[in-house]
Amino acid sequence: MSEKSPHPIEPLPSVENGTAPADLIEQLFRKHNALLVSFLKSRLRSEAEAHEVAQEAYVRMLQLERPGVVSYHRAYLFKIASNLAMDRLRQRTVQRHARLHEFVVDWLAAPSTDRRVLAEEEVATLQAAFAELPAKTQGIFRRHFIAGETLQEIARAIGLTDRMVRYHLAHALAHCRMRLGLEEPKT
Amino acid sequence: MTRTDPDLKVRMEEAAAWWARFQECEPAADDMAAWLAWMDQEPENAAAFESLNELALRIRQTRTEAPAVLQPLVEQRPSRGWLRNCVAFLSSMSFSNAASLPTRYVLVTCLVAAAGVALLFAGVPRLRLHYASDRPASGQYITPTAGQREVLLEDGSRLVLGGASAIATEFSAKRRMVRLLCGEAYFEVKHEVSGRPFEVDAGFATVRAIGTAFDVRKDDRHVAVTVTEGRVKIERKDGFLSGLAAAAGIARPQIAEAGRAQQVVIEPDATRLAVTTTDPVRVTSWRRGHLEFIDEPLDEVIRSVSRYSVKPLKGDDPALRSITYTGSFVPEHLDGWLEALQNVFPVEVRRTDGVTVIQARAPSTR
Repeated sequence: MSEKSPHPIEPLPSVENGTAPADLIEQLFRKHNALLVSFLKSRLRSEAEAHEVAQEAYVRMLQLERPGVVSYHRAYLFKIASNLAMDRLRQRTVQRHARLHEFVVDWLAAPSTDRRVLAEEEVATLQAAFAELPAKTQGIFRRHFIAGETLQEIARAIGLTDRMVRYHLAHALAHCRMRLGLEEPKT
Repeated sequence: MTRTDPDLKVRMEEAAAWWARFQECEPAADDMAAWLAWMDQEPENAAAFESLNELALRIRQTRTEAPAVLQPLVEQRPSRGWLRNCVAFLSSMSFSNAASLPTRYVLVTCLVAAAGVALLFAGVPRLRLHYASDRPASGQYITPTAGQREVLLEDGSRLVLGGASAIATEFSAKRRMVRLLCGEAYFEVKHEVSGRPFEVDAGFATVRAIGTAFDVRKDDRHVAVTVTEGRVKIERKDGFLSGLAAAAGIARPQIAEAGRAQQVVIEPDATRLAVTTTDPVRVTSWRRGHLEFIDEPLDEVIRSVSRYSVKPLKGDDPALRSITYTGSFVPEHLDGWLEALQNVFPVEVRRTDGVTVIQARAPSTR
């Protein structure tokens, strides 16, 4: 994969097995959609937008001229989805404030009940888990999740490298997850 | 992911490291391929990643929806050490020397001011939380299991919410919008001269009405709209397959109209929207405290009944789908109904962990 161009998409290899593009993409959808949505959710922080971008990615795939083998297609699908997500994130920084409304609408449109705010007991558990973390890790978690600062902003503000900020944030989230118990996520 | 996973802690830290990478504005191009390989390695990896993803989403959602709940995480308790030092410092001061008192007074004042500034900064994230309060004006109504609630909307329309159901309303100068989040509701829509449309968004489908009465029932798999008066227009929203078909230039019927005593059942990926005739009195029987069914798959019957049952019911055994049920259900006679179900159909009713589970009987037991 080339690092130079931000959106490198090589032409698809052609395959003469006669499978219709829509069928191939349906197979991709059935096999990899959960993974794709999981990736997009972590990037876009919105369930509804993750589904939207996933669908857009499939449509883009369908519009490609030469369909290839499904296993090979997966890398393309994720590449396309990743680029679409990137475009959205860039737009979003311009319209940060409009996002709040969308977020509420997303929540209302969410299909299941497992997307819910934290219960008070859960916050109490988080608070206890928090107390076990080093002060620096706590601060980074707060800056990101409560004050809404980006990783880069945090790195600049406290004079750490991006990599260290990532490390602290990852450790804090993993620790909280372990302390909250490990009920299976309902997807 | 299980509680007994020996590598859970390591796995979780790895998953979190991936998650954190994706929080960067521009993750490296090779990250995704490496992440996919990691997710493929073991199914527990994907589960760990998803569980972190969910927690992060829930924390973000809580910040937006109910910031007060997160207050315990925001509060920075003054450090005990700082307090002790402060007390020690103050008590060490000797007031015997009157001449030096003003200097000490200034010192203490400075200290108090510094503490004030520190507290002010500790309060910054708390203040920033409040930006969330400018969300759009909307109403939300929720009923518990076996509950029923009548709601008079601001435009004079009336709706009755069934058991275990929830709606959210958004009224603006241009339209009247009600989202059916789950369960069932019966609507009596007031006609407006200004022509502001009344819309019910039920996930897979939107129902548009102008002065009419209808019932909408929603579950994970389908939405059923039954008209008791007037006409409604039902528009299916793009499901995955219909979106694909549209992109490929294949038309799929997306809109249906239904009149009195007609029903449209919308499934996300069905090939067409079919309008059938039904008995609206039977469909809306829940409003009179009982449920009536004719030739309905047993799993759907159980799902409907569970919204009015005082005991939690579960019947998601796929074998139940092939059994059709005709009859009625009265919430007060739940035990008798369950008993009868076992006598008439090849099913068994069991209680596990406080939940009553209905499943197909194994062939060997009969």
